[in-house]
Amino acid sequence: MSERDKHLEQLREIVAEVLEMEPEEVADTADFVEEYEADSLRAIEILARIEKTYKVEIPQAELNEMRSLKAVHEVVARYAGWQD
Amino acid sequence: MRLEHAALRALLPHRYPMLLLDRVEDVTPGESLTGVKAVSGCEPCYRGIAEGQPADRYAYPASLLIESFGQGAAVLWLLSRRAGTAGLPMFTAARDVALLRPVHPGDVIRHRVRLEQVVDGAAFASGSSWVGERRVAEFDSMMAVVRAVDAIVEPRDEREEPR
Amino acid sequence: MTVAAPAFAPDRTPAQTYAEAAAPLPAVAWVEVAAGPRGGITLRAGTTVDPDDVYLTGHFPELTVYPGVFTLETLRQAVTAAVGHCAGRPPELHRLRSARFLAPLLAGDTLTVEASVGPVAQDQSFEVTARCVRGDGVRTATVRAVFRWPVEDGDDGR
Repeated sequence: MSERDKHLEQLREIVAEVLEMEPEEVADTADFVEEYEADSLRAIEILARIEKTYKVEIPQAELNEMRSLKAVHEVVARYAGWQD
Repeated sequence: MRLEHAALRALLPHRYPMLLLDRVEDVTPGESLTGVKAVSGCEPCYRGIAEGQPADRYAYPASLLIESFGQGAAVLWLLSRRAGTAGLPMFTAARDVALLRPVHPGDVIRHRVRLEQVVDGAAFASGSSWVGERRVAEFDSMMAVVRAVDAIVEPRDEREEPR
Repeated sequence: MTVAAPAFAPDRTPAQTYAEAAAPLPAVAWVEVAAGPRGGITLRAGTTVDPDDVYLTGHFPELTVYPGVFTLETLRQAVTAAVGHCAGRPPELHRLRSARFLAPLLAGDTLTVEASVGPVAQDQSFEVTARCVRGDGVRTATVRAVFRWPVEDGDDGR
């Protein structure tokens, strides 16, 4: 499994836990708000768990961007210095 | 640092009988806190019980135990916030809270609270509640925000409808 | 030890439920129960936020807000009325898997709880999944919890 795939699977698990879904139900590009009925508090919870897991700080301005698994991965990769 | 009841009243907007924290024995702002709540048969939650109920019915309500822990978490968080951020602390989410043993009048509960994270104006706390050497509850994650009164009573027709 | 899991028996009114155990307030005005899938039940219950309630006068003096934990209290009293007692004991909230409070309930607001309950497991526990809605249709909370009729004197053996 590539680094990118590994990170994506870890993030999928975090998102699934917060949204109370199974990891396999979280599609890469599905919009959390449109398709999974996420609210703003869940977005903050996802951000909090990511910051804790990866020991990174992500500015809250990025919250608006983090609307799908793929988008979350891109944001986290930027702040965690992943070469995905 | 130790906080007596007067200091808790200055920090928390909750009042009798909903102020469910008596004293903070020890606090490191932004990190951890040990809060004390003495349960009394005088509390109004015991006023409505019909005569002749068995002993187990006097168990302290789980709702109030969770609120009491949450107030400990709120004190811990509010102490580390900058002054001038007025508003009401609102409990917005909890994950994996286990109620392990009943608590009865006469018991003294000690909440051991850790502040895990503060993200975008939301605080996350975890910890456990104890009566003597026995753990009575565990809290994996409790989330709170501070909301201005205006934001709580905002006009409803403008509110975003949850789907 | 009983071999069969106990059955649900909606045999109590909300007022009886309130008078049978310590509770901050009578948190349910009405309950309706229907059969659900796999031996479980579904319930609907409701209440109205009364600013003169003694606990609510302290939450908060400047503005009545029905606390999130009182939504849990409403759910507990509704579940108790809907499932009844087992061996003389009411069910208790054992584990809160997830609770999420989405919108405030203020003085005069109505709260309606819709929950699926059960079926009952061998250890006398059952899952409860609830959605809570305000009078204007806004969802105020979602709760997933495990309730349980106590087996022994309040000790879960841990």
